[in-house]
Amino acid sequence: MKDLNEYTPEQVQALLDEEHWHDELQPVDRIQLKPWQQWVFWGLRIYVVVMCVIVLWAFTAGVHA
Amino acid sequence: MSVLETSVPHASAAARAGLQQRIRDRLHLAALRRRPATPWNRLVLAFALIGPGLLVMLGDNDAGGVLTYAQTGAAYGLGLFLPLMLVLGFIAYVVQEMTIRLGAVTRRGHAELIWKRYGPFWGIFSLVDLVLANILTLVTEFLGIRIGGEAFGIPYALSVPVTLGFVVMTLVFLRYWAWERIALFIASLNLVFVPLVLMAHPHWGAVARAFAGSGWVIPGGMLSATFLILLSANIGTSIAPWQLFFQQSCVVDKGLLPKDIPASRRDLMLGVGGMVLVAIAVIVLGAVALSGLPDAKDLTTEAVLYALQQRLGETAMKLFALGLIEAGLIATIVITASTGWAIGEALDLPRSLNASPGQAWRFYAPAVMGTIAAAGVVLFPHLPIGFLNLSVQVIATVFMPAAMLFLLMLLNDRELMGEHANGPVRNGVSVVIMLGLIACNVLYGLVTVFPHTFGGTP
Repeated sequence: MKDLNEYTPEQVQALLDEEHWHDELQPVDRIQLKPWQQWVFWGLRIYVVVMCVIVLWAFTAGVHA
Repeated sequence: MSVLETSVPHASAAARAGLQQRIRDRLHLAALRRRPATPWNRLVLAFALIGPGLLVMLGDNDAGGVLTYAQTGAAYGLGLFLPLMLVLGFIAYVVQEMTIRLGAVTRRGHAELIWKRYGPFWGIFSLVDLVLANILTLVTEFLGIRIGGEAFGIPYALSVPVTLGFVVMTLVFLRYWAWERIALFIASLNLVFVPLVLMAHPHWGAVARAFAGSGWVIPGGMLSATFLILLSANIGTSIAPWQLFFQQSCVVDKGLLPKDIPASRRDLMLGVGGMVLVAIAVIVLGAVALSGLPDAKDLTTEAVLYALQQRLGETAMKLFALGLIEAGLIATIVITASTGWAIGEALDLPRSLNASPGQAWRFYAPAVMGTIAAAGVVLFPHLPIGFLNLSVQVIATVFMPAAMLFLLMLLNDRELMGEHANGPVRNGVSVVIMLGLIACNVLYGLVTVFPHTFGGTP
């Protein structure tokens, strides 16, 4: 593979223009989760904690490998 | 260089890190695309475009996954789990394809999008899930490398640090392109399990019939603890949170754009094909060479190697051990990178494998430290972690629904995704996958805590 300095400035500029590498990325603004989304995520947090406790218990108690 | 410096005047240092190398890689791809469309040139271009999809799916066939497949084959023989691998391959494709679009369209990693879109509160949760699962998984990778190395007479005090050194060196001192090519070479060795299964001389007619319903009867029933844990573990070897973070960051670091999405899908399809092929090979191997062993689901790696030596000979045992080392190594390489990318994105650090260690030491350091911690655990002699594997695979599936929900919300964010947002069919399939994961885990939890509730045998 060629080094960057083996390409001409025109070639580099053409790629930057074509693929918009010189543009700033679109900003990603923060949005608030809707109440139902918050409920679902909290539910999933509880699910994760409960399941981790069960897996840990099963592992330490030798219930499964 | 001056063109780049003057053309990207407002980009932050974090975003600019490694940009020169990425532009060089893109110029290389553009040059390949301009070549006459001969079969050879097309092949060279296709080879240049592969990477994230193959790495994520073959990295997914990790040391823990290989052991899980062997245990599955030993426990259930040539039956339901063989066609199930095709289903899991489809699920993996559906999930991972979304990360390609998300990365190529937004040019941002998964952790960055979660933090910026939904704030650090939820971002921390997803990051903690990821890092925790990654370190646990890395322990199982080093365990596989340790045991695989011992089969060749290499003491673990040598195999584990050497592997750790190799992974850290490639991550820190190679730039993205070279890192990806070396990782792809290692990943290709995952196919060592294919000749190994041929050595086992399975009854191919029985293998074929398993895809048509033969042998699907599950001893103990589908609510038995053994079936549910192996089902959860097999799902956990096919889709895991690190894969979402890894592939999206990989797509971004490679500089892939919306026009590269079709090529990236082919790359992923190739990876899924490889994953399914190897998984089926190991299950068939387990069915042929390990069936009849007591407590198949509790088989340790050492027990698998011993049984292979007894039943198929020294060469087969060593091939399996080699495959185990390879599987552990490639998974360690990609999971270490996924940790680094995710932390770098969340904390808005320079976060590119194209960035030099001096420029981006804060990006490399957490990934390296996490991997050192996992390797350190495995270096303790007589550590009772031989049975850790299945638990880690199950934990991966436990973390998955929350990770998938963030993914789905981002994929339905038309402000971010525009025309590349998910359609109703993709959403429907994804929700079914999430609910299926949760149902499978809840059943496993119930049967584990109340073993006689559903009349299934433990």
